Amino acid sequence: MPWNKNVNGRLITRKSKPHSSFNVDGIRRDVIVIGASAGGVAALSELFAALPPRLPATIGVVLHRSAVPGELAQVLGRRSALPVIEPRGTSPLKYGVIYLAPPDHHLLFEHNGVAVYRGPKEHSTRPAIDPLFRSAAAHYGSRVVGMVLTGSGDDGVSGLIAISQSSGITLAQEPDDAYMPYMPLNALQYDDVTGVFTLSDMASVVKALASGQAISRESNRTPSQ
Amino acid sequence: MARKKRKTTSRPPPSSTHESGLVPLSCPDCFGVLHFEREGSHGHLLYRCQVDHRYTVGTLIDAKEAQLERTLWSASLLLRQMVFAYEDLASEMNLAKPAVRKRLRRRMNEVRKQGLAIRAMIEASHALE
Repeated sequence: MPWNKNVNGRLITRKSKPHSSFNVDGIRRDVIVIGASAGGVAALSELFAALPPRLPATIGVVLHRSAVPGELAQVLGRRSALPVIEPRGTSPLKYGVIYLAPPDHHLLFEHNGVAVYRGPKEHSTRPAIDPLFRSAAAHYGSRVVGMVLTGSGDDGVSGLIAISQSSGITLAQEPDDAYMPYMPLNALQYDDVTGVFTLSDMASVVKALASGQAISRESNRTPSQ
Repeated sequence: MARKKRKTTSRPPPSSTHESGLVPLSCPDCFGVLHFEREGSHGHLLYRCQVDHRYTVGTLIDAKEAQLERTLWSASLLLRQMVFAYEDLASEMNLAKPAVRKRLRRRMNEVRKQGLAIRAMIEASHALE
């Protein structure tokens, strides 16, 4: 089981429960928030390439990045059917758009739409994953799906807990499938993550949750395979 | 002489904000007071400062390690600059008594050694991995 191994000298002992089906009550989860760090460019490109055009959901993404403006939105949009946008101010959230946290700003999903905020750094980083996850949880509750992909460090854990506490769904990339397993491992250790999937399964999970379908046990990989 | 008994009341001290979980650690970003909370069903540990910089224990240690190295370099720099200042003083004190010059040389050597010791501390630190 990948998350029982010795990581950075500390033994991670919490096991993920065998997954049962989730979203059986058919709630439409149309606010998707995603966090990634080391290895995130490749992972997000692959995920976006697999998302269908006209996805009935809005997507917010934080990838740890430097404060210097770059071509990240273009790079991530290259294989994506959905437009990847770095918002500059507050604007209404739209379906079928991927909002990417701009350099040196936190990205927030608030009741009146997407916002960027040069607020206090979290975990010495800005943009950080936690502010996006927390704001989405506070304003969109059970409509939210939070996803932690490849990366090292602890950003995203606190945000996932907030999403869980507001009845949202939390997903982690299967650590063995991740370029850097530590961010998903930390999520698994501290949050009761709803589902663990490989990157190649994530797009279909997102699509199903956005249209209010249940994720069955068969399509959900169990850790004891 | 009877000392006047100080009145003790239960009112809170002036700067008390009754914030729960204050810790004796300052924020690495702004030096504000940190307090901790535990989140979720597995007690995830989170530190927050007065302006809401946030850390887990792991990211707090990373930031404190960076702060420590900066502080040690500042001390190393100060000691190096003091060597220059003492050299200037020595050249201005050409005519001083041998005993005074001896004390000056002793202090200069101390400062040089202290600078090297701090540099050695930085170079011999091991990252937690």
